[in-house]
Amino acid sequence: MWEKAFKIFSIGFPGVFLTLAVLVFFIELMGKIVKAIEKKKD
Amino acid sequence: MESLFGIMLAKSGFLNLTLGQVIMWFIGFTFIYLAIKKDYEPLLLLPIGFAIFAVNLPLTGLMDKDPKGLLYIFYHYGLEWEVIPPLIFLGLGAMTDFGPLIANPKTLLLGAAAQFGVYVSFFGALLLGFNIPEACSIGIIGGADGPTTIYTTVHLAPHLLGATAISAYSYMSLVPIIQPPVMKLLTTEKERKITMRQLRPVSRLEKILFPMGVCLISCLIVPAAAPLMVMFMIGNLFRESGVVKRLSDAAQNELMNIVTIFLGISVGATMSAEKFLRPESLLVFTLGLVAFIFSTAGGVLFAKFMNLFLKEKINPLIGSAGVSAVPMAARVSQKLGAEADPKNFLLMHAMGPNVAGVIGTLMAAGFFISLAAH
Repeated sequence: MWEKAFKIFSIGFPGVFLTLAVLVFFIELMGKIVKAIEKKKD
Repeated sequence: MESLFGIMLAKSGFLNLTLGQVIMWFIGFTFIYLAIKKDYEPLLLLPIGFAIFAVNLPLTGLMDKDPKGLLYIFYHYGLEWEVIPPLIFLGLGAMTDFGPLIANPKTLLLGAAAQFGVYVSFFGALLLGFNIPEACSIGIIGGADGPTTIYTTVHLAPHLLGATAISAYSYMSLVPIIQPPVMKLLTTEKERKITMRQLRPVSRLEKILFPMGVCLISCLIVPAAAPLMVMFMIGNLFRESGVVKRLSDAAQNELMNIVTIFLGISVGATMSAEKFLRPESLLVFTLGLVAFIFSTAGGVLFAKFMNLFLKEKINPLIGSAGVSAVPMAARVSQKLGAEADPKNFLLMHAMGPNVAGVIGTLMAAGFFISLAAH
């Protein structure tokens, strides 16, 4: 049981961080692209 | 005549009433009292309280499986079929402004750090003798997100539904009492006085792209979180697109209200005396509190850790808002920040980690469901 529990923790907690870190990257990238598009429009 | 009276008495609830049921009535009345008198999560505690009372009336068969009782029908089609929590998320999405998060995306990481308590409580539950699916259901209370707690528990340990749901909603309403001592303990006066630059304006296009991007990325990484995440982001797209105001309004108001009624009744209906009056329920409440405390600490400490690398420091008080409990946790950050410096306005900054916490809890739940089930 403990082996499975540690597996859940060692995948789950870093997994949450990883997912949200990818989202940070996505939002930053999206912000830059949108800014560039709006600059081009102006 | 005497035998007729005897038959009537035998068929009535009086002779079948147990002490456990009477105790549950008092628990139900306590929830009703807290909702009406103290205004603690009244939208949920009131229907939950009355459903607890109703389900513990003897011989009513309200939660009978065969023939199906009324409350069992609500519970079966609402929760067991996993309809209600995703619908709640549709409404939440339509109500949520992700602007502060998009303006300062690094606060997303605070939403991840504030899941720390989820895992502390998970291990705590295992140490106290719960099995893995039960421990996952108890741990997720630390995410301070009622619908996610219910969704995870229905998936993994439905027999604990009453205890975990009540624990999550009770502690969510107690966030202004639970969080401040932890936040003060882990921060210095100087840190609490840190002021943060005003957030940049976020364009409409960013707000429209956000739900689609988040849905794509998160569902690719954790498919098990899809039912809740998809509904959350559809609701948000309704809001931000600006072209379906009627749908957005319906999701935020009418639908949300209707679903909340059935959620409260269904959760309360699971709390029959024989299922709820067990030592495990007390342990679930204790572990839920532990989860809340460690989630708060995780968010605050990670904000301090981030400050080691950031040029523009963030006020660690906003870290505690990484537990979901929207917008209560953000208001607590604002209140403590204003206590340290009355000119300090942290509310909008705290809304970033606050909504990030919802996403973080969804991810944690998705990992639990996918890993614990196999």
